[in-house]
Amino acid sequence: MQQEWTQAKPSSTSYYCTGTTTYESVFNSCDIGVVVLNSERQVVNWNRWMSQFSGISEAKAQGCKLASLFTDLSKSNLNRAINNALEKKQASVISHSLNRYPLPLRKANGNRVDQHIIVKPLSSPGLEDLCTIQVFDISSAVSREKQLLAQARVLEDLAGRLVHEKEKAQVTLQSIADAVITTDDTGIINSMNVVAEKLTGWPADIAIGRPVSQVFCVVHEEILTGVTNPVTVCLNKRIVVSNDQDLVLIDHEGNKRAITESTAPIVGANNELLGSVLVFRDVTDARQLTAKLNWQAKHDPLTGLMNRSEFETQLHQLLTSTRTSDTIHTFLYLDLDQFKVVNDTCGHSAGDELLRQLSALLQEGLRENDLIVRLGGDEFGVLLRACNKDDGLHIANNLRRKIENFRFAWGERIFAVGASIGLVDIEEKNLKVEDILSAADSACYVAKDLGRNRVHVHCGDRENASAHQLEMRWASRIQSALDDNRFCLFFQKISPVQGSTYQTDHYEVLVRMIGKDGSIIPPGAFIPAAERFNLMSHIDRWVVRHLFQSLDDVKKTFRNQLPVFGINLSGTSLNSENFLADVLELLSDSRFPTEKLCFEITETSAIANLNNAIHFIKMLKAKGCSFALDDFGSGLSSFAYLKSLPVDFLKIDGHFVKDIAEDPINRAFVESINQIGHVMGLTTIAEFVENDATLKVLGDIGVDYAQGYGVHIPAPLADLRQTNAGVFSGI
Amino acid sequence: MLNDIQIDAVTEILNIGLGSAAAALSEMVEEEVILSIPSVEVLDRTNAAKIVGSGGVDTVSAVHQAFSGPIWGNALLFFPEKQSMELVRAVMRNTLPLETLSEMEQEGMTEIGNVILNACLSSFADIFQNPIETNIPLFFQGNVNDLFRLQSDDGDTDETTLLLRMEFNLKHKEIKGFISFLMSISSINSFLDSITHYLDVDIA
Repeated sequence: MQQEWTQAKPSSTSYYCTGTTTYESVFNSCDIGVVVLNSERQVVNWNRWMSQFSGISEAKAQGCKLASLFTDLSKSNLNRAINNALEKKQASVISHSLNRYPLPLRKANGNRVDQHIIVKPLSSPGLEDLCTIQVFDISSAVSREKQLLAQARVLEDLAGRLVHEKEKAQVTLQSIADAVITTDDTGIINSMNVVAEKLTGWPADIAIGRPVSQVFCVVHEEILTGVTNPVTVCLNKRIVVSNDQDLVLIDHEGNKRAITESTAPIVGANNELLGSVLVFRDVTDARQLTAKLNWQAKHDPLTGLMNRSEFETQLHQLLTSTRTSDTIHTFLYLDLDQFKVVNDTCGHSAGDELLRQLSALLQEGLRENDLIVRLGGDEFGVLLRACNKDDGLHIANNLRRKIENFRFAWGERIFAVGASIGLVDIEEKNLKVEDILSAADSACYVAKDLGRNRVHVHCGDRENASAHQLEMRWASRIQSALDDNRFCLFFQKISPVQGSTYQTDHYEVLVRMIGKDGSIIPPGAFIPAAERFNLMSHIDRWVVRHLFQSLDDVKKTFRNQLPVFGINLSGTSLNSENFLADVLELLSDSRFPTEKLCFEITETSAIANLNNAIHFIKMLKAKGCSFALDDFGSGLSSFAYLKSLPVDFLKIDGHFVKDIAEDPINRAFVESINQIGHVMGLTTIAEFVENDATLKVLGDIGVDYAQGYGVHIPAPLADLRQTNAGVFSGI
Repeated sequence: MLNDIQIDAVTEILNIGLGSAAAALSEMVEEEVILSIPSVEVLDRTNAAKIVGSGGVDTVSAVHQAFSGPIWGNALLFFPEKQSMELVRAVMRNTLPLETLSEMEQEGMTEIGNVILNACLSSFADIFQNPIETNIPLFFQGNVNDLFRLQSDDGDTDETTLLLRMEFNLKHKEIKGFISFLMSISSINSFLDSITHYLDVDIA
């Protein structure tokens, strides 16, 4: 059309007028503004659109310079474009974006017209150079863009807020102390926080995109086999899965951690499954603590053995199950015999160590199913499951022997201990826990009462009652004997061994209780009870006082040639300031020659409080008394103390002596004790000399004195008088 | 094809021409705009496309404008798409945060390209002392190879391009683009003749 149109123009002044009406009507019916200018910038053509929007009629515009119609034109880009078109034949566009309203055009409603203008040169050979200005109304496009812009801003704002929310969520996720992993609906990891990286050992960038079961690998704490991954359960069932216990996470390096976890499905607004969020935390420390507390609640902290309350629980369970079965079980109640000595002489740490070592020893001797418990102090219990009385007795004796043979070393000292064991069989139905413990306790007491280091089998209620009452009965009997002066003294001669440098006899003073019926009660029957009820020093006082009171009789018996009298002192007396004071008072009141008094103390009682013992010895030695160390060798700890105790006589423990003729080891013991005693300047006395063979060996060894039934059977003073009237010395 | 003297001459002429374009753009955007052409090369369009595309900038925004007169062909101004967005958004207010140029932005971009290309062609017209008529500018967005292919409708397969690198400096921005004049062999020969003649006259 352009070509036809340019070809059609005959003159520069009335362009379209010379053309056909068709051109005119087309020109005027255009929906864009069209202006044709000549090189003088005068309007040649001005279509109806221009008239309509500029308010300037064609007639008025015609021939006018454009700059006179639109006064702001001169410096505008439109003007430059017109110049370019007319002078340089260049086409230009004038955009709305960079030129808001190049021409002052308005619509009927008064709104300004958003314009896009094209300026083109219009030239043909031989014709005047013209230019066309085409004005497009782009108001609707501009309005569209404005709307778009507004929407975009809303979106941008929304996006900004979303980004902010996401950042906040991510920061939150990274900051929380729990490990968090999110997955999609198939269990593929979408995200994980720093804690999750740390606990799983997987860096997030490697873990993301992998199945969660590969990264979050959990097993059951105890059986250590795989459990169904909680994420799988959560996704399959669309439920929240929580595990507070038993789960262990195995990390990338194979380390194990106790964890608790909770997995929740992520469900969208339309109830579609989007994925899951798994939250877990390391509870290794807490679980260890719980386990430790749990263990501590059930065990004795010192020995690691089960404690009494836990044992009672287990025993109760066993009894419940026994009611419906015929299985017989056996229970042992075990009490250590010499524990107190260790505790008293070396302190509680030594006692504790002894208990630990014995606990280990006891455990060694038991079967896998047996239960061992520390019932308290030095008392232990052993439950032998599915074990009858005979087998139980066998095991109990094994345990007793183990303990008997055990030697406890503390520093330079070595101790021997023993055990008294009460055995009770759990056969009867409907037994209660307390019945069994009580019965075993009674049996144990009887074992102790029968001389310790033995097993006693519980034999019914009678024993039960008597065992409980036995001690009380003895205590009251001793007290009443003291009150009634129902004790008497026996004397046992200690004679020089043939070949010894000593010539004179000694006598050990022994105490007997007289029953209300006048019967003589041996010391083995009442001494343990006297020791338990702290009556020993009363008995010791009685002995000393009575001996002193009997001085005249004694003198008579020995025809004024008094031998040395050995008086036994208990540990309690040795450690009692009052007793020492009493003895000193008795000595000063009495005419009894002090050089004829020899106090016998056991090494056990002496070392229980060494300083007290040394003080006691020194005080009485200052008065002229002498001292003997009794039962020497029984504790095997003797040599170390021997140097510290200023004694005069050494009484070799009878257990070494009695079979010295047959047992070369015991003979060697006696030889060395004797030799050491002599080196230290002590006079040696062998106890338990029961026959001539023993006596002969003692003579060969060079022991100074001998005492025992083979030498002399203890007898009251009156009997001695008769004896002395006859044969004075049998050796 | 062009010796150093010719290249220097063309560069100088174009830079003078761009000076007026820069002034016009500065007025339009109310900010100082500096335009400069650091290099000029004559290449066949395949090599030109390679050079332009070598920076991985396959997608471009371009303004192209046909011209006719003593030389004839197509003038192109193009930028890698991101650069064109930066340019447009630096000079226009109220722009959209979209991934591509909006309708109005394309319109603005077209006017900027129009001003620059007209200025370059005016410079050539001055050398030739003959006007070079230009047609209305059009906006193009797409692959750089398509842009070059778009212009070879006249069947002249040996079409050559005069490739200019152009730097468009705004206050805080330096935007790099290209100007290319796609011409047929006869057109480029005419261009070279004119340059030679111009230099002869000039030296004389």
